[in-house]
Amino acid sequence: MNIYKHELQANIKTTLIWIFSLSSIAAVMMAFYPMFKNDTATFIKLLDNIPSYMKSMLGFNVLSFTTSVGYYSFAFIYSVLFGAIQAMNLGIGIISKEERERTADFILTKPVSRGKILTSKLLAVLTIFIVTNIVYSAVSFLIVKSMTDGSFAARKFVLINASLFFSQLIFFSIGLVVSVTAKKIKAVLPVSLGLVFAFYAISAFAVTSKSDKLRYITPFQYFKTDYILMNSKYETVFVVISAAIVIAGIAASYILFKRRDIHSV
Amino acid sequence: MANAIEINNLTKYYGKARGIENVTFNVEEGEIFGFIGPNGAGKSTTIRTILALIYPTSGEAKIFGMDCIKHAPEIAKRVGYLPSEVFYYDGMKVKDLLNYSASFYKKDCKKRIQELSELMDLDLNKKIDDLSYGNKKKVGIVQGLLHSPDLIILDEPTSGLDPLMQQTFFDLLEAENKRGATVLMSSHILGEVQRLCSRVAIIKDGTIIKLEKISTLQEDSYKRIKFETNDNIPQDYFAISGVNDLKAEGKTHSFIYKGDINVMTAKLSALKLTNLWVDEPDLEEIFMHYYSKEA
Repeated sequence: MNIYKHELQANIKTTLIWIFSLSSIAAVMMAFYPMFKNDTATFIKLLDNIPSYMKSMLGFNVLSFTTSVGYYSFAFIYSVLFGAIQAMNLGIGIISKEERERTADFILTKPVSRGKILTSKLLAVLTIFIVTNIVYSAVSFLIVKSMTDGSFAARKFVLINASLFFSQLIFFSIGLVVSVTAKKIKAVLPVSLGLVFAFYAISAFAVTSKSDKLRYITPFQYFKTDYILMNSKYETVFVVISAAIVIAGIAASYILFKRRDIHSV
Repeated sequence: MANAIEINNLTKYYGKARGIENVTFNVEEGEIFGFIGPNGAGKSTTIRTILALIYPTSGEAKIFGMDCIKHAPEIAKRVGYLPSEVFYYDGMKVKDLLNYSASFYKKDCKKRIQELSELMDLDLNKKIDDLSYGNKKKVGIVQGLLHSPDLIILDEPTSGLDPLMQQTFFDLLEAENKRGATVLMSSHILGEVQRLCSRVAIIKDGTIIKLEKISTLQEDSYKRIKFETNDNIPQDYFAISGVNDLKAEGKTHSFIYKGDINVMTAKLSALKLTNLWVDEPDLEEIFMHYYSKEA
């Protein structure tokens, strides 16, 4: 409990900043919605001139700009990108920061097992994700709802937003495994950004490529918003893959962290 | 006397690089035990292994009869550890850190925190980031002692403390020892080991090369002999067993001698001396001797 509380305290500022950034992204993106809505035809014409890889890079492959939730599903791509960075930072940082800041000697010589330390930290991270997602969902709901005339596709909206949470769990697990596998992580951000943008680039590539296989190696493709818009559900196979990654990642982290040698300065 | 620490053939390799090899020694309950050796000899590796911070390649260590790795959390309840380099969480105040540390032990440590920080002259309301190195070290000391541990493990404890504070700290350790705490401290400063410890293990290149009582180590008929003479001494004149660290500078000759004192006096009386000193060598010299002999 004390470690859990300590972690929350240590992360409160960054979490607030992330919540603010995520919400702002959604707000800024949605601010353009009225423009698109009023002039959809021109916009679609304009889009035809952009090369397809560029479109997928920017997330313009979704062409349901006529409804608020449809447009949101496009805006949401940036929220996921930011959410992925937040999650990856936590995944890579939560354990490695103890070694980097040389506080590992402190915490690991206390009467608490490594398993318990990791569990407390995981619970703290889960709390951070839950709070982030609740606030983000509330803010994005208020914005999107206020811009909706006519019916609001609630189920689709909830599914889209919930995928932020699931994506964060996946990116976090990947980051966690990286951090307990790596010998030493000198700084979180370069590693984290590198990984997230690599996945993002693969994702853009996956959209343009004819083969479907690339989709499996980037979490950005697991919860495709155009599929959600069309079917009002997730693709089962990717739900299974997501769950497998999270479970395997966390299980591996426990095993590796318990065996890890903590070197001195 | 029961053993607080039992280390049996403890070996640690970092990949192929040697950490320690077959380290074996016991620390008895209630003693202050010194662990000395040059930097990189394996002091920290040994200490970190018995604290379960790193895992041994082979061999085992027990603290209070419990396996160091398997029962690490159980053991940690009774152990206080002061690492050689202290670093603490950003943005925390001294008292927050100490309370956080105390929260791991199921006992009330408030009074002890107060006592210790007064003794060490530590301001509880300062942010740790703003403290000098010496003051951070004090935080480490209070943090390691606040739960009145039965075993205190210190890795190079005095670096960064001014001499006055060092004295206070040593007094504190002695008081803890009187209370019943066993102390294991590593150091490369022999004076402090000499001053505090009853027994000492000397480690070099990952192996224990000597395990001895401080008193034996000092007495053990080691003599530092220095003399002046105008005679020319043949090079092999002192080539007898027991003579080490032979040095000659002009008229002055010196060496460390361990052996029959009469053999030496006979040797010396054959020379025409102008001056003679016979001293107890300090630990540093004995240590240098062990160190250089093996090198």
